Amino acid sequence: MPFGFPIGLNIDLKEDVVINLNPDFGYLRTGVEKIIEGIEIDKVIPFINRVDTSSAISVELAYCIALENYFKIEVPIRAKFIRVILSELSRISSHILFLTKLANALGMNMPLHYCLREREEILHLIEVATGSRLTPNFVRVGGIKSDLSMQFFDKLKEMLKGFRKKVHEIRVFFLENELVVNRLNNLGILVKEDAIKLAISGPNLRALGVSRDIRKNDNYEIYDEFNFKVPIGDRGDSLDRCMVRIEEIEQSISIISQALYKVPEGKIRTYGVVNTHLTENIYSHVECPHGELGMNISVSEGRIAKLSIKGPSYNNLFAFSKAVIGEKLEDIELILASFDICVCEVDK
Amino acid sequence: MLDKPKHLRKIKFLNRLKNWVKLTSINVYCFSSGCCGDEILATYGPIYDLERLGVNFVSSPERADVLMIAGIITKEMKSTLEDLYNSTEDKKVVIAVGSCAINGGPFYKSDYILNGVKEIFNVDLYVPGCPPRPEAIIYSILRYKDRFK
Repeated sequence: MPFGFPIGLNIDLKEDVVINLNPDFGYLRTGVEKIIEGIEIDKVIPFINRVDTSSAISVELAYCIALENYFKIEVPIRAKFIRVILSELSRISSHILFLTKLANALGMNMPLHYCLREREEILHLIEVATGSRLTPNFVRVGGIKSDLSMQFFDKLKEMLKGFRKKVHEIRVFFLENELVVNRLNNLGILVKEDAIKLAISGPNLRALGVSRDIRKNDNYEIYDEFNFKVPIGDRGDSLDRCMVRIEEIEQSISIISQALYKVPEGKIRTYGVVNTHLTENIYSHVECPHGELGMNISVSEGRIAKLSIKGPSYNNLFAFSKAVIGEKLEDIELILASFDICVCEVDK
Repeated sequence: MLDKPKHLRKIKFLNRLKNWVKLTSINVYCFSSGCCGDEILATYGPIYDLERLGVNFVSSPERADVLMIAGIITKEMKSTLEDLYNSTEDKKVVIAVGSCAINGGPFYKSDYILNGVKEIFNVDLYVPGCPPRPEAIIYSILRYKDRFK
């Protein structure tokens, strides 16, 4: 199976029940935050792209939003709509990748291939828009790199006609299937006190019943113009985490279909003036499909002085090590798949 | 003297049988860490289908003919990769997928990574790209098959 996950686990067992678990990470450490010191502001984007491999556009967006808010550069409205459409497409792609890994851990082969087939349509759309399937390199400070053609919007409209039905088929496989529900029920429960101490965010927090989404609470881009719900769960077990992500796919489809009919004509980028002295620490955060992604930048003379990325998968890994205590040895792989951890974000 | 042609015919037949088996049933062990792993997963899917060419992904290196290595290679992973290489059989083929495994990729200036898999052991086939398209990965399997025709 070509799934790659280079993380070690040190497990303490007592008669096949887990007492303690310590993760062993650091095998993918590239030191990218040190390499990019001294590079000009517009040339950094291909390096930080590869930190989040399943939805690379959230990292680019966090970087550009931080600089635009600090230097007061106004982004044209057409660029904001296009950024939202691409963000939601990559959110759908990341959640479908989560479902394939969950299907592999459950041992079910058919939903795995159904999910991979749907993911190819979305990656093809991202390729028509930006030129690359996984690393778009599309967002710039002050707008986007180039305009989207009519071919992209036609293909998007055609894809959306049949996509809801296909997502409904996938939903029936996971949530209305007695085998899956009995297997995932009450498995790997995360308690609220642990979640607050470890600073969890994203769908793993919403599965506990806490309704917190940066798109609604701390409005960025143009998300206050759309009508969408934030799905929350009950108990914080693996079934709730799976359910929250499937419902988020459906909400993303509704955001994209609203955005398609509201995109105005206009410019796509404003060029702003960047300063010459050393600035203080600039911070911004974005709702990534794994959680809340934060970015700390400091700039001097048009080049980067210091950059640091806070990836949400780091916190999710420690939440997994708390949720596993008291479970059996054979369930560890399934609980690990339900937390949606991206290894490139844990050690970058 | 009389059974010399029969002996030679038998060896020729066994060679052809071995080539046919290696052509049609390829056991691949895949080590992937990073963005290139997502593209190998896409070739496993139903649209770019690798299994119609005879490729079978195995879960332990003792059963593999081909080692496919994709992704970022760090200094801490060096001993694991050496163990992988030593536990596969002697006549193996190594495929390096992606530019991080060829020569370090975009992170080549970093102190923490090795500049490619070629610093640890010999590589037979290179697949360039960052990440390479699924069609490129399929083409590398077809080039591997050319050796046995």
